[in-house]
Parts: sequence; structure tokens; C-alpha cells
Amino acid sequence: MASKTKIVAVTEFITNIKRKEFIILTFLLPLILFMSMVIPLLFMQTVSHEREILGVVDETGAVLPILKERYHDYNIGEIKTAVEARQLLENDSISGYIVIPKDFLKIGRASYYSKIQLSSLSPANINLERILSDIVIENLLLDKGIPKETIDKVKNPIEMERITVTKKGEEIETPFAFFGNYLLPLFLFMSIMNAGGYLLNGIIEEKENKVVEVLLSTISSNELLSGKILGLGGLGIVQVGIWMIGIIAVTSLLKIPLVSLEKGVLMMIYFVLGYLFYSSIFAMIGSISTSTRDSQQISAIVSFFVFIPLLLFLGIVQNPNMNFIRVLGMIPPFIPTIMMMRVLLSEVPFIDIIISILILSVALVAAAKIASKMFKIGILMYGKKPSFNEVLRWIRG
Amino acid sequence: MKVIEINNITKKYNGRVAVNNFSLAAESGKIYGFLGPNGAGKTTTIRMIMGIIAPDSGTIKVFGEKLSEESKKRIGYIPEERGLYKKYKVSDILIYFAKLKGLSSEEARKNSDLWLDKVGLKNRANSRIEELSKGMQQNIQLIVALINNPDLIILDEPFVGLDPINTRNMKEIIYSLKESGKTIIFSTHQMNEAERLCDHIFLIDKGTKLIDGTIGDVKKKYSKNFVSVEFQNRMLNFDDIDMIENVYYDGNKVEMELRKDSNYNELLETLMKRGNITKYEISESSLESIFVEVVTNGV
Repeated sequence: MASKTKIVAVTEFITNIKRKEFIILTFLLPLILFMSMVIPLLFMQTVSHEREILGVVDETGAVLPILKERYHDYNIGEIKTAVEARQLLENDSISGYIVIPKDFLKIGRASYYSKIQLSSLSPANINLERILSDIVIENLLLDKGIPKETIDKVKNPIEMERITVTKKGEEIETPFAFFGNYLLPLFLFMSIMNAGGYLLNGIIEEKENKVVEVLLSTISSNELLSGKILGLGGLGIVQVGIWMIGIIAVTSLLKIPLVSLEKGVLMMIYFVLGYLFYSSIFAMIGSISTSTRDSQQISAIVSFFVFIPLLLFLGIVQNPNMNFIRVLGMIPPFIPTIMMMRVLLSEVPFIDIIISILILSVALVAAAKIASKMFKIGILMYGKKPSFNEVLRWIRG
Repeated sequence: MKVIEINNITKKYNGRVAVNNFSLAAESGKIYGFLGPNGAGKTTTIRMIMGIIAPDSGTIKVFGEKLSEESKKRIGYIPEERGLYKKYKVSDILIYFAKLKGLSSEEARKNSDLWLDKVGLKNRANSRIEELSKGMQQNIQLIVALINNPDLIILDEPFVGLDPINTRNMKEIIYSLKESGKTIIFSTHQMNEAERLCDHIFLIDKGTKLIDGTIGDVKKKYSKNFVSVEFQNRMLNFDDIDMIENVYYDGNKVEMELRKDSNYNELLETLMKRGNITKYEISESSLESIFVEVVTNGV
């Protein structure tokens, strides 16, 4: 590395690593994301109805004892009639009541009454429905003289193992994948956009503070731009490194398998290439912008395109190797995100990896060349935004 | 050896000529003034000397060779569009630029302390640039240009935005640089400063050089002799006096522009015969009037 480029890179790195925004994003954001997933889970578990009473009007006489034995989300209270139950509900003596008609064991129809609409997804409801359904199944099959073991099998008919076969033919049991793994591409991409944002702001700041010309009298525009890109790239790597340590710590604590080393390396390749590609794009934006407001407007449009693949996340999770996703993963601006997600979620065909890396590398070299030409002229433009034709002339040089 | 030698440089922007076939030469130990109205091509020429933009044709030599990384280190430069990182600490900025100019970390720190002490800002080394007054910021800008002890100093409009005290300081620094054998080139609109400071001036307009010479030579060549005469009574008509080129009347006062090589005493004698003279004052053209005259009417 040329010594001036190194001086710029080191200065950019040291200046930006001390920024409050960097520290907040690096440490606080993952924590917020993590908490936003963990807190609702914890909350769901702590929502308890143990002190509440669910009234049961059991006209069959057979369901109530089983419910009392198996259902623990609510305290079960026996109520003789539906009229009495309604009165207790209106007095708020009970949280709700269920009427189990005489023919319930044959027809399987019951009614649940409550003042608050019960979510069908709440664990209390899921458990209740499952227990009642088990009671009906048991009764119907017992009537037919089916042995108890068969009935138990009917209630839990299957057991699924999830096994991923790797390229080497190894079988790896994959229990529930850690959601942190799903977040990895998002984190890597946030880091790219963050470092790109610093690059853009730095260029605009130099323009606004008019420090550019002093710089250009001691250093060439190429040295300046490469110094900035390298310094901020180092910053991105530090950031991702910190996040990786966090993810490794959490996964080893929860004994959840982490992505394989091979996949990790591939993702880092996409990360580095993606960063270099996008930093060239941000350098172009910085070259044609005359103020922070200008640059924010243009980069908002770029960010929109960049985040399109993230909107396809659910589709990619379901089938990471479908043709539409494969094609999208060959278009330069989408390559880093799509490929990071595909690599993470499946065994991507080797040819896809080679082609996407080649396309991204070529696009990156072209973007860097254009950025360097635009930067050389654009950085000295103060106050006047260039027209599209002017920019084309700069590029043709 | 010439410190700067520019031969026939031309620069066009989108077909519009910014600098046209321009040449100049500068020797060491002198102060050069680069004069011209707005948009004359001064900043473009300076940027070409600094290698920030390249001429379309012509050659520029600095210290006898094409501008190189090594020769760049011997130039201190304050551009017209100047500023510093507002959030940076003073010492950090100085060290950063000193390192970019090839000094080691240790030299950078030493020179930064030395200069801050020189301009009385040692106690502000840890202040952020935005906390400094405008005058202090200008001083820091100057230190940035001079921190590596360059032999050639190029200042684009150094007096713009300076209050009288800082203008005086800047002039003193320019003089002291000259005394230590440095070459200084500065562009300016302020003719009185140029007249007082410069050994030599270049006047450029619409990209073309109009004047190139020492202050003495320029004045000798372009200066017009003026005589201001006040009579006791209003006097009119001096057409018969050959020595007078033009006459401007202002009450009892008459401004006379004399032909070249006219003799003041001879004129006085002639005028005394016309009436009672209460005041007779000889004045020569200022650089400013030469500038206006040349730019308006050509050489």
C-alpha cells in the first residue's frame, strides 16, 4: 500500500471507530434486535392464567375430570349450568367458560365464552384445543375397541428428523436453526451500508468544509479514495468481527450449531466484494452531490434497491435454489445479499458461486474505475450539481 | 534555476478557454503577485501548477522538472476554496497533513508544536477546529501549508476574509518567508497589497497574460502622469498646451493627464502664467488604475 494511502486509511479508521454512531450501531443495535426477539418469547412464557378460573359446564360428565388432570393453563372451575356460568362471567368471577354439550364426545363441538377475544395462537388455547381433541379421539377409538397403544400413536403419528446432506455426503442433524444465523446476512449488509455511509459523509464533509483542495495538493485523488475505502473497510471488518464473536458466544452458550467454516469464509468473500462494490457506488454519489441533503436523497434510492433482496427473504428461506432467485443472485447489486442468504440456507451449486463471484468482481472493477474518474473531477465541484451529460463526459474522461 | 517555469499552457472547459497560451517564470527569493479580475484564470493556473488539474497543452516545470511527488513536498499551498475538518483537533489535523507531506510522526509532532507556538496557538492544540475563531482557523490553514518548510509557497487569495490585524500578520509572514529565501506567489484582487508586497506581477485577463514585469517596470511602462492643480478662480480650456493629454474639471480643481516625458516644472511655469495657483500636486498611476485601465482598454 502506498504510504499516503496508508496514512489516509489509518486516519479514517481511527477517526471513525471513535464515532458515537459507530459504537452505538456496533454494540447496541444487535442487542436491540436480539432483545426484540427474546423479550416477546419470554413474555409469552410468563403470561400466566394460573390464578384465573376457566368455568367448565360439562354436560357429558366425562370431560371435566380429564381436563382437570391435563389442562394447567387455567384453574378449572366446575359450573352446573350455562346460565350460572354466564352470570359468573358477567360478575368477572371467572375469565371465561366452556360449554361441553352431551354429544361432544361424538360430534366434537364445544363453545367457549369470554369477554376478551381469545387468540387462537395463544398457548392456552392451543393446549385446550389439543386436549379436547385428544379426548374425542380417545373416546371414538376406544368405542371401536382399538388398543391404547394404537390410540397413543394416532395422537402423535409422526416424528420428523431434519437432516442436511452436505456436499461431502455427510449427514448433519439440523435441529431448529438459530435465528441469529438468519440475521447474519442482514448484519453483514448493515455493516456494508454503514461503512459506505461513512465514506459518503466523509466525501461530502470534505467538499462542504472545502478541505479537498488542500488534500489534493499533497495526495492524488486515487490515493485519497483508496485510503478512505480501505480504512472504512477495516472498520466494517472490525464491526463484523465484534458481531461474529457475539454470535459465536450466543450459539455456543445455547449449544446451537453455527454456520460451517466453509460457509463463513464464502460469506466473508461476498461481504468484502460487496463492500468494495457499494463503496464505489457511494463514492460516485459523493462525487456528484453538493450537500449532505443531496447525498441522502440519492443514497435513499440506492438503499431501496439494495434492500429488495431482503424483502424476498421468506421466499429464499423456502427455496434458496429456485431459478428466479438464482438469476437475481447474478445481478451485481443483488449478488452480495442474495448469495449470502443462499449460502447460509442451502448447498449452493459450485457453478453459481463461481459465476456470481466473477460477475461481482468484474462489476466491482468497472464501478471502481468509474468512481475514480467521477471522484477526480466531482470532488472539486462546489455548489453546483453536475448534469447527467456532464457526468457522462467525466466518465468518458 | 527557475523555481517555476510555465510554457504556453492552455486549458479549456467544455470548449471555453480558461487559460490561453500562458507562460511565466519565477525565481527564488522573490514575491510574485498574480493579478486579474474574477474568472480571469488565476485559480485554474494555480491548480495546474499544483497538479490538481492538467493543462490541455504546454508544459509546467517546478524546481526545474515536471511536477513529481518529491517536488510537491517542496510546495506549500493555500487554495482559494479552503477549509479544514471542523470536528478534528488542531494537532491531529497538523500531524495528518505533515505526514501526508512526507514527515515522520515525530517530525510532524515537533513541527506542529513549533508552529503553534509561533502563531500563539499552542494552548489550542487540543481544541476542535470549529471552536476556533476565523482568524485562528486561517492561521492553522497557513501552518498546514508551511509545516514541512517548503521552498515555494503558493497562496490563492490569501487576504480574502481577513480582518486588518490578520491581514497585517499575513503580510509579515509573507515578508519573513521571502527573507528566508522562499519564493512566494500569491493571487489577489487587492492591488494596494500587491503593490506594497510584490517584487514582480503577472496580470491575467480572460485567460491571457496582459502584463509581466517588476513593479518598477510596470509602473514605468503603464503609469500615466497626473497633475492635480487648484486655481484661485475657475479656469477653462488648456487645449493649447501640448504636454496635456486629457483634462478633467472639478470646480476650481483641474486633473491633468500628461503626455509621456512631459516636464512638470515646465508645465507649472506655463500654468502660472494663466492664473493664481493655490495647489500643484504630481501623482503617478496606482497599480489599481493600471489594472483597471489595462483590463478595460487592453494593453
